[in-house]
Amino acid sequence: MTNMNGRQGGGGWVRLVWFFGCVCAWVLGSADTQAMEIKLQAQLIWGTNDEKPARSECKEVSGRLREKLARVFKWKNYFLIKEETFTVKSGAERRVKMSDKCTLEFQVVDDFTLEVQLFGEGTLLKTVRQPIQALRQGELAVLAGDAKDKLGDAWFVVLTMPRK
Amino acid sequence: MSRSKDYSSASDDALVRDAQGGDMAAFEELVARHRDKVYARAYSMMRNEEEALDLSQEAWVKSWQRIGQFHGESSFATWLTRIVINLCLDAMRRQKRLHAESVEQMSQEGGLERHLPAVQVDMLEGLERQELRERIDAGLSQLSDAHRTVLILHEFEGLEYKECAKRMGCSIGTIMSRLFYARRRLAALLVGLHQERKA
Amino acid sequence: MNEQTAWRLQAWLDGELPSDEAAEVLRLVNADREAAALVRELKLTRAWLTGNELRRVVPESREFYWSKIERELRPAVATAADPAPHSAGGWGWWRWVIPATLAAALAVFLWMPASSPTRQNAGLAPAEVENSQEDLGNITFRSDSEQMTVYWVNNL
Repeated sequence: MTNMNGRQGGGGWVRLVWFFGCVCAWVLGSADTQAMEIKLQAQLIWGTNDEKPARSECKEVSGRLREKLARVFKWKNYFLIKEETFTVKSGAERRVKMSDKCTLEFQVVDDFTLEVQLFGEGTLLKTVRQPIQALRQGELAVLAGDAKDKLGDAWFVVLTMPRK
Repeated sequence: MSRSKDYSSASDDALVRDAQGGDMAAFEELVARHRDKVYARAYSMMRNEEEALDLSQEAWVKSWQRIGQFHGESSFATWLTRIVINLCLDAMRRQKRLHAESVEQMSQEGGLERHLPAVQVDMLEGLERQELRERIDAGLSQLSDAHRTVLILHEFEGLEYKECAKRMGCSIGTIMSRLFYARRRLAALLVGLHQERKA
Repeated sequence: MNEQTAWRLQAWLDGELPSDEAAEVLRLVNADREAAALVRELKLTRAWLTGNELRRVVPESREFYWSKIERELRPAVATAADPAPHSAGGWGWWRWVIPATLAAALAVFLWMPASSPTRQNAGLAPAEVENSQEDLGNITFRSDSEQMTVYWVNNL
């Protein structure tokens, strides 16, 4: 009898802890998800020494981004092919198609890290992990490579966190 | 320690005390001050930038976890360097880079150096310091991992034979042998490099 | 000269020989030209190395380097290394909540259907970068002045 009573009392306590724990887990979990929604901008850029690229819809990259690229890379001209602004939420992968050949996939790994996967024609070419804090502080993450179809040219995917 | 505290002018000892009390900003200042030294030691041992970055960062994480055990017997930088050295040695063991050679290989250690005439003239005299450092580094790159490691521990870290043996997990005799042939090989390499460049 | 004698010469130079043996080695160096030549080379090598280790700097900015360390430290700070800021009453409350939260989280995890996206993500390794056919000849560098990290991919 005593044991039975004791068990009942313990069961009530466990249920209370259980309920409270569930509430805490839900609150903390949803707070975390909300905190980890980051806004990003991806720009696909063509670097060339030619005056005008074959693609007429491209516009010239100007301003600070052009200056930054020109100080680091050797090309004379940089043309913006596509620009996408989007949000990435923790717990969900975000796929962004930049061109027929180039797709990016984003994932918030933890509070500090953004993982970016670069796919070329469906094949995974590069996985990078970028500190989110660095992006917040204005860091540019640039995935780049030599252009296959035009010798001497290069492509760039510039990832930034747009200022609110 | 409050956020407004001027960490940059604080001494290492003061920063360590604050870090021991859980102040991460103080620890960050220690990282900023000594990160190059820790990275450089990891690079000198591993000869790989990526591994050196990973191991140096692991050393910082370990030092934070063990900072309560630091009682100032040496400088903080020395204590930290010992941590990164141990991590590098562990990594090299995992990669079997310090793996004991076969008996035949051991007996042939220094096979080439035994027959070389001793270098008698300081052929590197008059070199700019930076150039001398670069040549020494190039020479160290050409040594085996075991030879380079013993030179780093003894010459750059100033560890005695006994301490080198303890860290590398071998006998004092092995340390004496490795150190001797490492020095002889490095001397031959430096002179060889010098003559190549002159030619 | 045999190996043991050569090592003793070296130990003498390194100050690792007892004083009675040191006198004997000194006599050998004065009497034996080969021993003297070897000592000269060992001294030269030591002189070249002294204070001449190449200086290297971390090829990453202070913030970038620290952010990776900080990422590893945060969980440790939250649990173990930071006892001071909690008042006794507050800590008592958390001591009660944390096991309950963990139990609840475990229960939620076990009840989740296998196809749930959250469960798939929970299986990810926390820190390792997964590579496919990448990284052969790829280059990563950072420009501090431009605050730009560049991952140059060679096989697109």
